[in-house]
Amino acid sequence: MKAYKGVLLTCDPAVKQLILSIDERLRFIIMDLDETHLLVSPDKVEWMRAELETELEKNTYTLDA
Amino acid sequence: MSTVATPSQHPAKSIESDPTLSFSEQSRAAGIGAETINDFLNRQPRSVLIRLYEKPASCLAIFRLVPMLARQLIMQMLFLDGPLPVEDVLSWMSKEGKREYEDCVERLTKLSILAIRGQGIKQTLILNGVFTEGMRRALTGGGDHRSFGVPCDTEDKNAVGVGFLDEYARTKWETILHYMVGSEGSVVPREPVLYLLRRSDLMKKTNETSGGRTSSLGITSRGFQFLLEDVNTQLWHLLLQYLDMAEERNMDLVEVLGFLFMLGSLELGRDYSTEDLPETQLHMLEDFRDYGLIYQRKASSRRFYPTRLATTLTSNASPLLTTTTTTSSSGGTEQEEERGYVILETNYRLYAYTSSPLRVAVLNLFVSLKARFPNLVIGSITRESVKSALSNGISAEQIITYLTHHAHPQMQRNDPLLPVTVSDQIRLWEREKNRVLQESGSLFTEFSSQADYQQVLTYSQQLRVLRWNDDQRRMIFVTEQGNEPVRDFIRRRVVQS
Amino acid sequence: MASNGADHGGSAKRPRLMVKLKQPASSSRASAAASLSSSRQPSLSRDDYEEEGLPLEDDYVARPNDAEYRFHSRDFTKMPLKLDHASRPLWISPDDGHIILEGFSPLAEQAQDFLIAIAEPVSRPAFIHEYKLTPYSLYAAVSVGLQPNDIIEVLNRLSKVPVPETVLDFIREYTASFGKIKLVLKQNKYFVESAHPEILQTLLRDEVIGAARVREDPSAQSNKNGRMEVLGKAQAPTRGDLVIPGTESAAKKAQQSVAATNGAAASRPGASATGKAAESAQAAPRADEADLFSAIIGVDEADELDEDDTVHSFEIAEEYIEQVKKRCNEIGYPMLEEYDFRNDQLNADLEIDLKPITHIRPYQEKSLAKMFGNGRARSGIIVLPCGAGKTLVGITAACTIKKSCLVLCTSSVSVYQWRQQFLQWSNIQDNQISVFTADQKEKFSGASGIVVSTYSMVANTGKRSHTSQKMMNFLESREWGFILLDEVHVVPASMFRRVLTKIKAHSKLGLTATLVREDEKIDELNFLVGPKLYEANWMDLAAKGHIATVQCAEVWCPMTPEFYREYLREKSRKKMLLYCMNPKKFQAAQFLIDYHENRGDKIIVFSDNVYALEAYAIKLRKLYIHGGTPQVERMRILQNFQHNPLVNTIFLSKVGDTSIDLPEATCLIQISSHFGSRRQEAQRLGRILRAKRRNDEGFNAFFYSLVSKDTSEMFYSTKRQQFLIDQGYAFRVITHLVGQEDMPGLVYKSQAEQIELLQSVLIANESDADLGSDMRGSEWADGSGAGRQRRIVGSGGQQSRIPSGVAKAQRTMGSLNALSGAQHMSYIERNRSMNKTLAKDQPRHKAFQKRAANAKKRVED
Repeated sequence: MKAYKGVLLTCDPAVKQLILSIDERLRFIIMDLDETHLLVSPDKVEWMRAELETELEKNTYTLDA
Repeated sequence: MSTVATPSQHPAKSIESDPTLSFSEQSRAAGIGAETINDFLNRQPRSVLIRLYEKPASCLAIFRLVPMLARQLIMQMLFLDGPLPVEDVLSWMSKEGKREYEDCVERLTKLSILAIRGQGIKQTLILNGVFTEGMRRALTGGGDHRSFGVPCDTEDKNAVGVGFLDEYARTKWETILHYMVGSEGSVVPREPVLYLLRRSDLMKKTNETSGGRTSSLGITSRGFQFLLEDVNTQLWHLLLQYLDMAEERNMDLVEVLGFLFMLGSLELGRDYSTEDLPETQLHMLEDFRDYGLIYQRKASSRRFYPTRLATTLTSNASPLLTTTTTTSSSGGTEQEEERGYVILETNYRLYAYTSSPLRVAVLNLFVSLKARFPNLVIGSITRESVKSALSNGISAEQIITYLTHHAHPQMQRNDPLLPVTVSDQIRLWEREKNRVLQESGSLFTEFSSQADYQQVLTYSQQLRVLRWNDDQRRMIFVTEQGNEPVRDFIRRRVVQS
Repeated sequence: MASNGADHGGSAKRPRLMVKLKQPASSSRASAAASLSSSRQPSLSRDDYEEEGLPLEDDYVARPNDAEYRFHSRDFTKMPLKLDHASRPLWISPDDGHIILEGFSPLAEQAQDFLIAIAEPVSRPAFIHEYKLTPYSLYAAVSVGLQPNDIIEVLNRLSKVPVPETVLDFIREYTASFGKIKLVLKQNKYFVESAHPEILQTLLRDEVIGAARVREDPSAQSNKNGRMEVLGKAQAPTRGDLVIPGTESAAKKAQQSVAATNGAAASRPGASATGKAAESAQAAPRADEADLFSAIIGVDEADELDEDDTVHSFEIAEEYIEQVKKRCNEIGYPMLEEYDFRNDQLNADLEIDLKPITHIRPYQEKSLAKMFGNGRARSGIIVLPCGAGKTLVGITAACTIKKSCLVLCTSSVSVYQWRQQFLQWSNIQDNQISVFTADQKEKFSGASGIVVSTYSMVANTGKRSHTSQKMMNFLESREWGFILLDEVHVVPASMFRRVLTKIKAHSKLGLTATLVREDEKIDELNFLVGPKLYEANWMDLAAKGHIATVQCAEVWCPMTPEFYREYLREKSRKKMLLYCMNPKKFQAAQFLIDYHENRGDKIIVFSDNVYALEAYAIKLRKLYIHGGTPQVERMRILQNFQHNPLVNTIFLSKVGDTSIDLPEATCLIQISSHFGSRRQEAQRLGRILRAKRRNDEGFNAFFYSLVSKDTSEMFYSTKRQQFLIDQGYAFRVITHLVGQEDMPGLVYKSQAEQIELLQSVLIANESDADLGSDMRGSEWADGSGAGRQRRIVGSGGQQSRIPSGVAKAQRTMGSLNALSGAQHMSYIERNRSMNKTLAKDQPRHKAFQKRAANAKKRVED
């Protein structure tokens, strides 16, 4: 029996892929659970969210530059 | 939402939102107007209520707050020297009326106005003595109770008229609203007001310190909902918070309530003396100046004028004059605007026919404003503007509701009222925000047997702390709360067995 | 132009309108006046001119930069509202010349007609429209005969607020220098013409222009005995009795001339007056004749205002034309070009008229009225949405000018369509209209005629074949009365230059649906062709049933995790291929095709990417056309799509973006497109605007963009839509297609299939991701045995018969294969191009003939 403290992320499959690619830059994933779930270390969650936001933002066209 | 595939439409599913709530439902969900003064009174102890009834003005105010049937009942008993047999009451009541009657009796009983004596057929109703006395004096005007305020007996050299008071009340009230929406150049209200706004969760501290603003309070979701309400609802929402606070501050609730009810009985345009007011009420006078309920020329003034905000507290009349006297240039009155002033186009452009700075400021919460003419404001709904609203806790549904409520009459020929593309998009932006959900907790793995796994799984399910599990790989994720109990459980059961 | 010294000294490289408008007004007018009377050229070089004012493409293409739009600086609440503002429809912002129009005002229609003449439309959705005054728009206004004072007066009448001083100055500034001089070809001599002799004097003092002048009579100079030379004088041109064919007044006039045969002296003025009355009555049926709007907006009347004006002119030598034009642009007096075709006796008339049954629509007439407003042909651009009858406008213009005409289009397919349209709508003789394409090079017979060709044929700089060179010599040696430039926005400016230097034409008309160019060359069009004469309102035409109403949707297709992982890793252009080939997009396409075929729609699926185009078409068993498809096969496929009830879907690469006229199509699905091209998006939408069924009760056409979620396609998709959104179109986002998952036969349903697809994409060449190289042959199917198949299947049957049979038969075959599970055995067979099943010229195998015959029977049943 083992126990890990961490943050459970629930997301759609595409976002999960994005998170995986962010993880390649700086490891924070404790365990890849399934297609829509990840266990990550709590102290990196905010950073990861910011990175994710930046990635997703790239695909958005905004009129108000 | 329904799925449609009729020939003239796409085989598409509409963008779903959270279960659509009606406007009032949303308000209540946000806690605005959720509690009324009635609820507040209902939960007061008998001792407080009885003391309250010593003031005839309070009796009259509460009398106005109860339903019509209850009022009839009170009037019937008021000058009756003795109990009223229930049988008599029921005899003039229809079958449908009976239920209503029962509700009324329950209500009045809670308020300690009424008591039931006896059983079955012999049941009688008794009106509380203190209430009877107070109510009688309120109606006949007898005695020297001063609960309806003491008009000044000297003439005010700086007397003000109703017009002035209305304008004053409006300005004061809007100052608070402007502050809430963060209007450019808005005045920061006094600390007690800020405290109340924070306390009632209409505003909250923000991290960013926007340039120049002394205090860094930002509007909350509830605050946004608050802005959409009429003034009376807004006022009561704050006053109830004030009452709550009074309890905490150990102010005498009877005096606080008494003062509120007294204000409701005063005459607009008259000046009243502060001479005989107890300390608590003098303090309230000071507080209420900030909300525009009271006008005093100077803080030290010995007279005060109630504004329409105060005198309509317990009536149905509108607390603020809706027609403004200051819209000179725009021509249109706000009453005209009231019918709807927002045009939203399929290209996300928003045109608001308004000259009200407050409206502009509200729009500014979720619209990127571009230009402003005397009677027109131009802006766009953009991803950025909606995102910033969302981050303030304003929901997509609230924005859509606001736009729908204030849609320009020209928009009425649209069905649905707002361009679907835009309302869909607003919802999608909200959804985008929630693409990753997170929850702290613990992951349990490497169970030595399927039975162990099963036991722990069942246990965490029972505790409702299970968030995720995988039967094949025998993994269980439980919430932070579940961590300790599940650990204990494992120690006790699994390890032992 | 006037506040010069002050603002080009320090600040930005190219001060934009906004910046200029912020300049204090008073000094600018004074200096504008000063510069008019004195010589301008010393202070202005070419560079100065650019700096000074004409904003480049941005004003057409990009939205105003938000940075300049801070609310604080755009607070106009101090502007006084007029007392009766409620009954006036517009606001004018003082800082950037934006005009905001209440589309629901009773005056809105007239206001729109006016605004479109003087300003650029920015957005025209349902309720509130925005326009913008630009130097170009004012140039165009002046060129169709509007006077500055009229512009200001009407603006003031319509505006809720007084026209801001800054805007007044702006109008005066630009109208002062624009449109004041014209370049006119009269009796094959070039004249610079103006109603303002002082401007001509200014020009003559310019070295370049002065040197180009032809002195008619040496004595004239000595007469005046000084530097001031006498200019030629003439009456200003008026529309007079020029009648545009196909209009009401044309019909009236025809009657009149019949009636008036006895009185041969039936005076011109009389006739023209009646004609005019009829026209203006038609243009504004409700309006009071004396109403100011019809006076200003009705172009013919506007010209009447300066009927008494005298025009002055001087002649310039033909060989200096290019230089003079350039010089005039440089010094801020761009020349308008007009063709006095009725007085052109040197070029032979062309016997051409609209057929009596041909009538043009009100907006077509309106656009032509701008072109022929003063009885001459003005060069310029007419902007009408696709499907709104641009061709007929061009043909009517040719019928009005009645001189030799060269028509240039973008593809050989449209060459034939133009020729066919000319024959359909006009009475031109078959031998008077010829085509010049790679396949066909013929001249017309007689002294005058029409040639239809492509830009690339004419502009080609490479070596030509003998016949082609002979044809070019023919084109270059002639003087053309009229050159029609189709899809004028797609042609690169350099190509234009070559065409226009090779071809001598008196007047030019550019036609386009979308004056959005991503390549920042929009300003070139203004000077190479001419100002925009007219631009129609899409929503308005749709509401009136001239073009179809379209439901637009963007379908979000989630990337499968496998595809997305590769997408995130891929750094090359193959990224694009991955989002095009996303299995979920495949499924959405399949589902939508099925859904719309079942409702009886005819569907065009667009893919810029040829690799994806073939993969989709073959997998979904549909016909397709791309750059590599031979001409004959193309025509055959198109004909099948039009007439064969069993061919309801075709796949087109971007060869289908323009000019392929398929009025049968009622549904468009876009699976891959050219990045953020707003123009392409509009052109593609245009493919269904002329849907034959558009006037059916409750008819809607459909336009879907399939977009892979979380990829850069999302970015481009939103960007692409902006032009159409500003025209009032709304794109709904569809995140879920109802019933897609349960669709029988859904492709790539299993993960294994999806991964197989992914692998095929990963081994594809990087070049397969290209959008541009649409000229390669079909590699997808060839070499997999299909080549042989072609020969076996081929036959010479009628189009309507054979493919239907084959299609039917194959559907059964496909499902049998699926049942048998013999996937790899059947791979070649199933993944065969449907194109190869179309009729070929070879004799058919007996078995196939029999099957086809059976199938035909089934169809007929």
